[in-house]
Amino acid sequence: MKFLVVDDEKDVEMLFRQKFRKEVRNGSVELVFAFSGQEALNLLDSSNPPDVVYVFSDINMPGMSGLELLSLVKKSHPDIKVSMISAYGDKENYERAINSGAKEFFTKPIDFNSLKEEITSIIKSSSEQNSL
Amino acid sequence: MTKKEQILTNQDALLDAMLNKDESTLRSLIHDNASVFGSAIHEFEKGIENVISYYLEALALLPDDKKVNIKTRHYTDLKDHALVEQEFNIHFTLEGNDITLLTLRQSALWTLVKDEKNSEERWLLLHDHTSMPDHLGAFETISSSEMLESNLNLELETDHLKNRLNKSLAELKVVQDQLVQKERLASIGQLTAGIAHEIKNPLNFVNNFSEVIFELINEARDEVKNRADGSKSGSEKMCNSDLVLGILDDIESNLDRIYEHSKRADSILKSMLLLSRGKSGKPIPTDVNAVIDEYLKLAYHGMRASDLSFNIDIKTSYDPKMPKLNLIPQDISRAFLNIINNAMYAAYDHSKTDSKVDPVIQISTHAGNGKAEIKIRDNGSGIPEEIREKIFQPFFTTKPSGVGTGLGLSMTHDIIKMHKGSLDIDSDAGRYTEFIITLPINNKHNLS
Repeated sequence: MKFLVVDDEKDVEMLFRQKFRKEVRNGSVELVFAFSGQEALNLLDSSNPPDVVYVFSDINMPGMSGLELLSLVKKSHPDIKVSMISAYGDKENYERAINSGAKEFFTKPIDFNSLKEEITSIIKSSSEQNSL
Repeated sequence: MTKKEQILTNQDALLDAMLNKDESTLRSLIHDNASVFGSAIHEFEKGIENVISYYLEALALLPDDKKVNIKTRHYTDLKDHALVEQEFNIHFTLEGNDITLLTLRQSALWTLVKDEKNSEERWLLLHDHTSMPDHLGAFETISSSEMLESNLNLELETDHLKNRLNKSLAELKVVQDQLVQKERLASIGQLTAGIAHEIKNPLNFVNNFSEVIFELINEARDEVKNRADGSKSGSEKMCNSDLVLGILDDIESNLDRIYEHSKRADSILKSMLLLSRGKSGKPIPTDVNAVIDEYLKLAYHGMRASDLSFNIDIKTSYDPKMPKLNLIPQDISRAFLNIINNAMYAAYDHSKTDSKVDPVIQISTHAGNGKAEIKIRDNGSGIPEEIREKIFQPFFTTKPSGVGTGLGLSMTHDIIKMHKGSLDIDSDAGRYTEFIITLPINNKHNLS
């Protein structure tokens, strides 16, 4: 399953690849990265229908913010799940994200255990659906 | 009319004539041998004609609806002389906002003149020092310090008077220092949230990467144990040495990231400490591109943290051939920060009132012809022609009261002048503003 991570900090890619090295190696998770909201949209539009099932996005990025990306993705691809990851875990950001259709709201520093739980539950529910 | 009433009436008439550039009234109030100290370097005029033309030229044209508010006034009777000291500000109303253009302090010495023909007595202005509480160069009123140094070598005879003037000048200097410090702290306060974010970010990476290293070491240990167990039991299970080598490579690059991120946190803290330092430092070879980029990030996160809906598109183009310039880092970074903050504020403010505008800030650097050029452009509502002259004046601000101190750009201007550079503005009302900072490239020994 393909997950897209959007963050303007390039080191996030290295971190995710190492944190999910086992999942990537055994093929249960595929990771792609975008470093801006626009790049993320381009990536989603590059295949029709998009093969990404889940987007994790930072909120605070130059140019398009993660919240704008969230509403655009929800508009064009309502099936893709989007969760936010932000250093600003305040009520306003949280409510705006959830009201715009975000599935979860993770705060930075990222707790990879809860992120792994989220990804595992997505993989599990999709395999259950497939077996139905 | 008492003597005091006469002199104060003259004082009001003088101020009014100064502000309205009324030459004939000025002529009727000024002594033939009058002298005036201005607020900038070497502004000293003697003789009625010079004093009049100084008054006519020194003050910029002021809006018609200006109002003068006299805050304090002190009168000292000195027999044939009288001293009036006052502080006042000139303000006007723009779109419902009360805007203070200038705060001025004036010390005027009046003298009694007897007309021998008709035995008429008149009070005329003998000496005037009108100063803006400005802060050229090392942030002192140059003329104030000159007056102190030359110990007021004027027509002022009375020791009492000298002491009074010296005292008020010393007080003035204290007030100036406090204001400059206030502006410094204000710019740091604005940045605190940005700094917190910018430090938290690399620290998060340090945390995350060191966590990953633990996992990697455990994985490598398991792998090596497997091999050891395998060889003991004689089984064929072998260690995948490629895997272990891969893990070691990852650990190495993670340590490199940890090193980089902690260096980054360290450099942010250093720049914050630089900004708060009261004393000006020494010029050192400085990477202008890096300084601008750093303060761009701090300003962005600072704005972001104070207003969660704030966002802006940042476009940068740094000249890779930019040589290191000899600059005083804490001063020049404060100058960049002020302009960047203003640009972001202007662009965002414009986008709030005009939904067709998406806020954009563009920063570019270019080295050539012995000069370094730094352009900071925003798509804000522009600077109207009529206030373009005034924006470098201390205390001039168009921001709502309490938002700006009005000292930012005037300090910026002084800092760039101190570096033998220039600051130009290109602006189209309703479309954009571009600040162009030009700094000399070979400025090894010529900082003023």
